Amino acid sequence: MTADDRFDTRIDVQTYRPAAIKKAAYRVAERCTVRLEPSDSDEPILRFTFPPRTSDTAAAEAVRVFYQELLDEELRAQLHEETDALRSLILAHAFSRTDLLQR
Amino acid sequence: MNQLADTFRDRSAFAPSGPYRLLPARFSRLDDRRYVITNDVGEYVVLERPALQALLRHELQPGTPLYADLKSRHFLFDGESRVALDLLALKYRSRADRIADFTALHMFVVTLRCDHTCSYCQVSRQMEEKSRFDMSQAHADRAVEFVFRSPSPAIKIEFQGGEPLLNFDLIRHVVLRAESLNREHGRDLVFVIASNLTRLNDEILDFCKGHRIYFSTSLDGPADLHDERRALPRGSSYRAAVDGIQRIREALGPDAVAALMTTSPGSLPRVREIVDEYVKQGFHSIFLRSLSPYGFAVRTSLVRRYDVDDWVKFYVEGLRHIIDLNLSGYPMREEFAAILLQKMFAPVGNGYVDLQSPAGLGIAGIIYNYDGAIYASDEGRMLAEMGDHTFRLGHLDEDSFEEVMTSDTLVDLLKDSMLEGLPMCSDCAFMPYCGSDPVFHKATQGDVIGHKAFSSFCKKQMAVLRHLIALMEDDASARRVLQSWI
Repeated sequence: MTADDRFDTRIDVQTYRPAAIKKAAYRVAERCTVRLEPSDSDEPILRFTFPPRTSDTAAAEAVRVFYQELLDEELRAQLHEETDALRSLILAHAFSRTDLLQR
Repeated sequence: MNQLADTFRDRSAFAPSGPYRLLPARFSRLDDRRYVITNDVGEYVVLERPALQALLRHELQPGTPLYADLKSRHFLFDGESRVALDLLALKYRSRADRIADFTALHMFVVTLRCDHTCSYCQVSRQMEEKSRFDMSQAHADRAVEFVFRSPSPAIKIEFQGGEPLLNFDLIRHVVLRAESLNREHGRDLVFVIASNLTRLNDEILDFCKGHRIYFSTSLDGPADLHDERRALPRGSSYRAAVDGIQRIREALGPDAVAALMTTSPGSLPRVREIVDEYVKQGFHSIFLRSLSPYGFAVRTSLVRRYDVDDWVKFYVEGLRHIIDLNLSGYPMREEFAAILLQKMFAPVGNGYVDLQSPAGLGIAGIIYNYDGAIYASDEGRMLAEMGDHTFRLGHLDEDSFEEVMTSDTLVDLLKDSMLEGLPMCSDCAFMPYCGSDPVFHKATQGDVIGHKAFSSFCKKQMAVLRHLIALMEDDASARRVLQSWI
């Protein structure tokens, strides 16, 4: 942990898609702020900033939870890719032949 | 043309090409070990992470119990599935059907006057003698006209305050006027008076007979707890409530009165006593409610004296006690759990105003204030008393029913409250059982959508839903009790 409540690491965006990284960051927003920063390599910097007076234990836990959420978000992205068209089909079918507009 | 062809593909394009195909779903962590996966119609399965990964990687073996479970609950389909998509569409439509039949609940604030000085009052009461805080007959008549413009086949008119019995003449007028109009409309019409019961008398009870009028009152627990927060300058609020409950039951029947409790900081260590008080008063139902961040609860900082974790601990202990009461032979239902369980297991949508997507604003319930202003919800008018008029839809003197129900204010609020499009909610496994609470998030975060990572509403919903699902999975005797509430 750095003195100014910041922790930097690199992340492989071939493994984790940026959309999943952003969603995981949103979910842990109460514990820390997570930013994707460009770098001079293929792997951008992932910058964690913690609220003042965050203990090292709490900061480590926040990073752990972020990576847990990131794994979940990757799985969710896979699920959405496969099922989004089906969801549209089901919803279109659900509301076909309704009389909503006539009411 | 190409774009259209891409959007509207032949049904054969959706047939499973491998052993099975996934159906739309969402998943969230249930605990350290397990996930809960739900679909758009509220069916769920609990599974451990390796099983979840195997499902998503198409590695599940047909013929296994998990495969059969996931198939029967519409998380996957295969070459032998004949009607999976049609069934899902039918179920989705059934759950959403209530939206077309808006608005079932119409609340009339017949007066803002009140004889109590409750520290957590959501209404920001006015003193008893200020009759300028009474609703006029002209506004009441106009509001009754609005009521029957709603297409809902079932109509509930709820009289609120202040203390509504301080303006009983107007209640009587509205009941007779609504019944007269209903001879033509033929709706399933009922009335509720939300009262502290201090002004209950024989004349009022005589009128209530034969007019389908029910009472809803407050009972926070044992006398000292109830009277601590519900201050009645002359006398005991608790005594007025329990005496009133008894009189209503004798005059109108055992089910003519319901009670609601609100959790104050003093309630937190006493949930068993609170439940036992309801048993003592002959109730078979209790709604363990947290404090709302409106009205005097905010002005007196009461709402900041406990956080959501405190309330969840209170709730879990209370629910355990209620389940044990059932197991020992006393039928008792916790209403918050019952609402969530109905959303999880019942085939049709639940009408509970506070847990809808889109929100119940205006379309599940609407409120006509004492001064003729129209608000999208009870909490919305409380926020207006604090100076925030975000949820004001119009005025009975100025706006038609059509103008109110199609106003940009209401339509924009409804669009912003559809969980399917909200950050975090759209990916949450608990979404089919949850709802949007724009008033809560406007009051606490200054934004009707709110950031759910900071939302105590979200934390409370997820904690209670996780607890209920874990009970259903892990505790067979608790499951039997919970299933009896559906």
